[in-house]
Amino acid sequence: MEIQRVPLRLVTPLPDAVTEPVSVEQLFRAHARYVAAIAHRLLGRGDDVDDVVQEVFLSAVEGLGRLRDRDAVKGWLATVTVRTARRKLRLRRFWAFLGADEGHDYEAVASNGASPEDRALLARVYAVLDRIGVEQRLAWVLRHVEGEKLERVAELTGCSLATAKRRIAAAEQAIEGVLGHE
Amino acid sequence: MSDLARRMEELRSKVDVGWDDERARRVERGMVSRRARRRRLRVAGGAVVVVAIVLFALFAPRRANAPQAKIPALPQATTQATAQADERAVRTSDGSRVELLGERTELRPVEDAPARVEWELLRGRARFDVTPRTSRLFRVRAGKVAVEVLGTAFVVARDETSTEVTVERGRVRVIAPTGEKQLSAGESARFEEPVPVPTASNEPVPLPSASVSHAAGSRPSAVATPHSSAWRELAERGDYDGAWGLLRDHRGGATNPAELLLEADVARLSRHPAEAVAPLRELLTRFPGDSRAPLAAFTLGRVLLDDLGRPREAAEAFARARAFAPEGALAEDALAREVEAWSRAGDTSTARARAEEYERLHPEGRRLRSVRRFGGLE
Repeated sequence: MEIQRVPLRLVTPLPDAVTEPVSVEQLFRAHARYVAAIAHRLLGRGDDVDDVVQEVFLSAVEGLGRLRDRDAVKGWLATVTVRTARRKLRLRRFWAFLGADEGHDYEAVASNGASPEDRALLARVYAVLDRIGVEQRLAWVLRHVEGEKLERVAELTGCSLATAKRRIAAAEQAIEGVLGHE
Repeated sequence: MSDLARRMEELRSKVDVGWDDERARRVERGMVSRRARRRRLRVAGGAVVVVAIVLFALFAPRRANAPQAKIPALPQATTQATAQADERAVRTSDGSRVELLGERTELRPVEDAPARVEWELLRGRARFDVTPRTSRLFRVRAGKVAVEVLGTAFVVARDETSTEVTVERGRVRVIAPTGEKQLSAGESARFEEPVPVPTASNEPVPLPSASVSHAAGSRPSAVATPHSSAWRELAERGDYDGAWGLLRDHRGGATNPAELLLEADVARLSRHPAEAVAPLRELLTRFPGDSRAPLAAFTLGRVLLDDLGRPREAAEAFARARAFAPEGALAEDALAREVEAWSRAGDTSTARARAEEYERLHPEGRRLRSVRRFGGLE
């Protein structure tokens, strides 16, 4: 299994900061919901989300070392989540290519309380997302579902700003082409 | 900003993971198990003999038995399941073993993930030897009966009128339309398929447009519920069980398509799919021109096919969904599901005709493979 090794930006500890090694369980309990939310929006499938969450924290703690900057940790977890989700999505497309993934009912993408129309629309959007390229999907979801700024989308997906914009536009065109104008 | 982007901005808050304490605990347990497995593998990597023993323990039983397929190779596994052989066996990724007993057993893998393994027994008999694992749900569906286990061995036999579950080891929970039942080693139970309630023709009554409106005196004669707004508020908060509790005995008061759709959603999402049929049919009858009619017809088809096992009616509902909006966003899926429904209803000639239509309309459709399978075009 590939281990994620992400270079950390060390921050000078505060004078009264107590630094100590962080266990994977501590990291999980503090940030699991945050990571799961990102994974859910990227992947759309519950079991894939659980799998990615586990992988993210196992990868994170192996490269984390000592916790210094709490805000930096969340941003870094988001980066690891996108990378892990990318692998999962590529695998999904591989199985789809072989005919072993025949799609998914995305009705559970919408949260409880969503209207039937919203639920159906989101299900159709995510069904279409399965048909477009992984990089386009990641960029579009981070921009329009996660609500990230373009610069942050580029950072999370490891590409230039221009490339991120191009991918988002391509994804939008593909989605609108299938859905029409709802 | 495009229309789609604007719409997604509005819906952003509606895309949220259902993350509660129970799920967090389950995922955390799985993570701890996974980490422990990796540590064990690292240690074993330095000890060749240990690795060899582990590999032998994992793979030796497979070699000793009839040819098996490792999941996920779903199409091949399904093909093997329907081959005319006395006995076939497959092993899932968690080490559980599934044996097909007798000829013409048809078994379909539905899901194979770390947290969940699910099979569907379409007909015949199969034996399941499930590896104990508390962080993973192992489930077998046979018609309207579902068997959930944590670690056991049991046989499920399904014919046209009933499903029988026999437990050899451990304990299983069986979920049937009549309720839930737990069976221990040595026990068995038979569950009869419910007889479909004959329904009147679901062809829409052509209503003059004036009758569709909410003119005075056109309300249905159902009892006005004192909880009419309360159930809606609960539903909009996502408390479908609570909403059903209020709605159950005071139904029939919905006056517009949005309420009828919401009522159907409450029934479905509180695990009462049979109760979703009436409001969906009412929407199609009273408001056939509404923009939500295709969605209502499609949802009706899904409920009838996936939850209630009424494939012929489901096929007709999917056909209506397409008829309402032949170029709409649901049209492709509706046609694909219609093929599946006709196939499950035993009408192979209609299934084939619809499958050929799908191929013509959607030569690169995302459901092409399943359409070809259900339509007999493979």
